[in-house]
Amino acid sequence: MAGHRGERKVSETALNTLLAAHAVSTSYTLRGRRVDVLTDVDLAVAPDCVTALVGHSGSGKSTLLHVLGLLTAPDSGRVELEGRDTTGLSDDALADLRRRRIGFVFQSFNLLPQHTALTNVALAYAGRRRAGEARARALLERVGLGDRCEHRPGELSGGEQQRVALARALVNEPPLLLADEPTGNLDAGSEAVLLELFRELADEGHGVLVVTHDQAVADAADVVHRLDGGRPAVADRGRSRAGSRGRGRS
Amino acid sequence: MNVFRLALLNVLALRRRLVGLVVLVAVAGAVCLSALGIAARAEGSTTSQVGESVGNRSVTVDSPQDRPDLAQLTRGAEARMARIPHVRSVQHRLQVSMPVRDNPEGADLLYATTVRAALAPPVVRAVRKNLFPLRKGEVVFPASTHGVDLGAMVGRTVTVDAHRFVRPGVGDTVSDRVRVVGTYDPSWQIEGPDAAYADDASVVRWAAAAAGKSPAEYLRTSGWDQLTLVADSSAHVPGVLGAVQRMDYPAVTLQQQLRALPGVLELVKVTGRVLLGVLGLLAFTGAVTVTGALARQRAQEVGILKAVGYRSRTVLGLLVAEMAVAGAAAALLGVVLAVGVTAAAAAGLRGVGDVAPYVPDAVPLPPLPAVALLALLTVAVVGAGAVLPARRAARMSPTDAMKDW
Repeated sequence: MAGHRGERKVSETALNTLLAAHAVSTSYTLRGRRVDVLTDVDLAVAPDCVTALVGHSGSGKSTLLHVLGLLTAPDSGRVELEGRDTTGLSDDALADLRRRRIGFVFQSFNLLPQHTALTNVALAYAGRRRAGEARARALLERVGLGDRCEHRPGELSGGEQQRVALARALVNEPPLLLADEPTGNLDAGSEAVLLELFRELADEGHGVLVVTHDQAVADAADVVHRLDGGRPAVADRGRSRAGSRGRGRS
Repeated sequence: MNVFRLALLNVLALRRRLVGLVVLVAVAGAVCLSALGIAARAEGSTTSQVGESVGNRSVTVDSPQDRPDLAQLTRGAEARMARIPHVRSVQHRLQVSMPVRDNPEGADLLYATTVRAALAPPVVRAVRKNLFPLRKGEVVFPASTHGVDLGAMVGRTVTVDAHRFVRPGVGDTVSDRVRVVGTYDPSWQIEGPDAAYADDASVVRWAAAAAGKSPAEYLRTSGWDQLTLVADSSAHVPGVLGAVQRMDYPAVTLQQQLRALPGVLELVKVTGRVLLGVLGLLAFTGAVTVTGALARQRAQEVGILKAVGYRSRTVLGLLVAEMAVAGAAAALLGVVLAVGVTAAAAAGLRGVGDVAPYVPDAVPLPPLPAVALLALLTVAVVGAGAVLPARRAARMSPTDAMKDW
């Protein structure tokens, strides 16, 4: 299912998996008929690299991301986060994992429109208020929005809102970042800034999984997984992807 | 971030959406408080001034003068009646004709009457405050009688006569000098239109003289015209009445004439409580409706919070806390409104002559603990109204909630 930049990355991934899906399947029922969304999907996300999940619209990418992000339970199969099987965990335990171990970035930013950028970032913080605000301020500085802390989402551009969302995703220093079409609503300039931030995060040791149908985003990834009709597509390991662009990590 | 701080921030940020609920609950609370305050005043007044008034606790016993076979209302009878259980006091009345000899205003025949504390006349003019009990040699005249204004007599000393019976066909006159110390409203005719109130000793002396007896003998044989027994509560009046009647004295009560009174008093209480219930229901319904609508509008927000790791019960607590904060704001606003409403109502009621005495306060709100309790109740009702819709929202999966944006 995957294409890889180099052999060294493959071996690191195998040895050090941050997130893994094993035979994950989901479906829903529409007018009495069962519709399979994902069928026996296996996937692994390693730290230190940007992983892309690509596929056509309706291929199940976002559903898989929600399953991997513990937002939705699969019908069958299991998801392991940092080696721990999440099957059967209570809602509270899943919420705690989402809060401390996973950061989310959504296509439509999903910021709370009534609050400032600072509050949007700090509200997800799992510690004390003052520490949360300091951390939020530092993260907004990092994503280049130090001077926009008191601005509400409606007062920010799409690219700025997405950077606020990224800062929120990082507020608890999670090892894993999940992004669902993060560049879908951004212009080219904002997209480049965001991809650069993803790369920095991966370099710092975070695992980054990006769902996209944007080829530029896929090209920037270290690992690419493909979905086709809810099933893993056949991997083409050595095709043009290896060494195609930029950042060889071997 | 602390959920209460986030709730406060949300309420501040969403104040325009919450203003309808806050105003609705505040107005309901204000009406409730005002109604409670005024109803409490009405209930208190009806209880103290009517229900537990001396009149409604009284048993009136008339002298059986036309029944020589019965004992008269002598000092002994008075003492026996005072020993009836639940009798707080026994007040006597005696009346005797009192010609006023040197009355320049022209009213020459009044009836000297003892004063019963329970039925003291409404004084319209007096030489001093607190006329009653009258001192020896003092009288209070009606302000007018038979078209003659007696107001000018206040402060004057006049001579009154008592015609003394010696033997059949023979008598003489006993005269006393008395001072007119006040006049009372002539529409007060409980003791008749020409009653002139005087101290007990003087009235007894004049009555005894007219009967040709000494005062002591008079009270021992003829006794009082009427006795009024005041029970310690209105509920004990029937028992006291029965006890008097078992002693063979004719007795009546105001309660017998006003059978509807207890029902009317109860109606006043029940009306206040029904009003309170209706307004509470209104606040609850408003809270449920507004919270439900807000929760639906904010489904994606709930989804986002859950996606970033908020537990369901934290989200529930957040939504309920937001409504509780809104409820607190509404309660505060309601109290302020109630102060205005009750102050205006009190000012209006004080302009109504008969009602004015019962509205002595500028702001007739219920007592402070009741106001605080109602404010807490408002917060609780609004918070409780938020629980169901908030629970529904908090239970949504984050994915479903975010889809509902």
